[in-house]
Amino acid sequence: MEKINHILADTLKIPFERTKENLGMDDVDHWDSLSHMNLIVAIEDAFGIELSGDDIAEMTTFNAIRTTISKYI
Amino acid sequence: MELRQAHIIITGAGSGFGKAMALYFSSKGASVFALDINGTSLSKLKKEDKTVHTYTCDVSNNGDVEEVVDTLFQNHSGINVLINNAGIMKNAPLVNVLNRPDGRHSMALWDEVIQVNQNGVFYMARSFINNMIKKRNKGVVINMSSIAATGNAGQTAYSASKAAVEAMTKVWAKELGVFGIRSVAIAPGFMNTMGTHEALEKTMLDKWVSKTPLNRTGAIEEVILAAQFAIENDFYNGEVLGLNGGLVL
Ligand SMILES: NC(=O)c1ccc[n+]([C@@H]2O[C@H](COP(=O)([O-])OP(=O)(O)OC[C@H]3O[C@@H](n4cnc5c(N)ncnc54)[C@H](O)[C@@H]3O)[C@@H](O)[C@H]2O)c1
Repeated sequence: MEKINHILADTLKIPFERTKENLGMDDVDHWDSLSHMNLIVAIEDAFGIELSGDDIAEMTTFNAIRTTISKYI
Repeated sequence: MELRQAHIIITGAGSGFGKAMALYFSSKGASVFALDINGTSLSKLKKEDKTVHTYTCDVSNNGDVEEVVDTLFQNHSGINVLINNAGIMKNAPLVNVLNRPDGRHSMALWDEVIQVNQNGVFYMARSFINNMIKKRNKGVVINMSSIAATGNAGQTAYSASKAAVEAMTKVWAKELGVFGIRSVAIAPGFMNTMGTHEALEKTMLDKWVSKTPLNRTGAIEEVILAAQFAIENDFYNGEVLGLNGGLVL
């Protein structure tokens, strides 16, 4: 899951250390509906998976993102 | 054209740029006709400067526009400047993947923005120019565009409406030069007004400021200077005057 932390830090422009917290969309300045799309595409590319529309809509906290990815890998 | 000889119709004059321009141009000896959909803001403007003529008018309603503009030309001679400033800024991605089951850009939001920002400018200019030509008045139409006209992510409707405003500006410059009427657009970047603070969250605005080489939002006075230049310089025509501190989207 080191890989996902790098994606979160890069896409959401937060210090790497903070990726270890369970942050949500409201906690991260750069996390809006537009950057969410960048995040989803980065995750799909990095893990070679295809997320469903419901997954994408629910992945609004770091914990939810990790739980969703673990369903696929 | 000298400001003392200017008889200026300003839309959206109840607040922000519109109000500031109304008060400034009036203080410089111009006659100002302030239009806004919001009657309360117009009453406040009138209290601040009794010489400004105020009219409640929804620019997105062609009936309203024709009535007010025709009345203005019937009752006042020498009207020679229109500042199409009324506008609304609304944001939405084309598809919001977070909204389930349907994340598509709202049709109502699209219609609302186009109706005010694009059709409003068209309705106003159409009535204004018709009266100008009948009276043989020479002058200038100034349209308030935005840096978003070049395409700002998250602003499909707003960007489209402002791109249309710039296109209309260029068309009118070509069509109306023969009547001695110029057409100019002003395209501000991120400026320090209530509208900006209402439409953009602070973090979003901070992001844009950090991308602006001058590292600040623009001041309302700087928009006034741009409009003053557009009124006073009689050879300035068909151009979009960018005012963005060096920001490129
Ligand atoms: N503020 C900025 O940073 C910025 C940047 C670029 C472009 N602009 C453009 O400048 C113009 C003025 O912006 P502002 O920040 O002063 O806005 P604002 O919200 O402060 O004021 C707009 C005024 O227009 C009026 N209005 C809204 N809909 C109307 C309608 N249908 N009919 C008549 N009046 C109506 C409002 O009542 C208000 O008084 C707008 O066209 C906007 O798109 C603003």
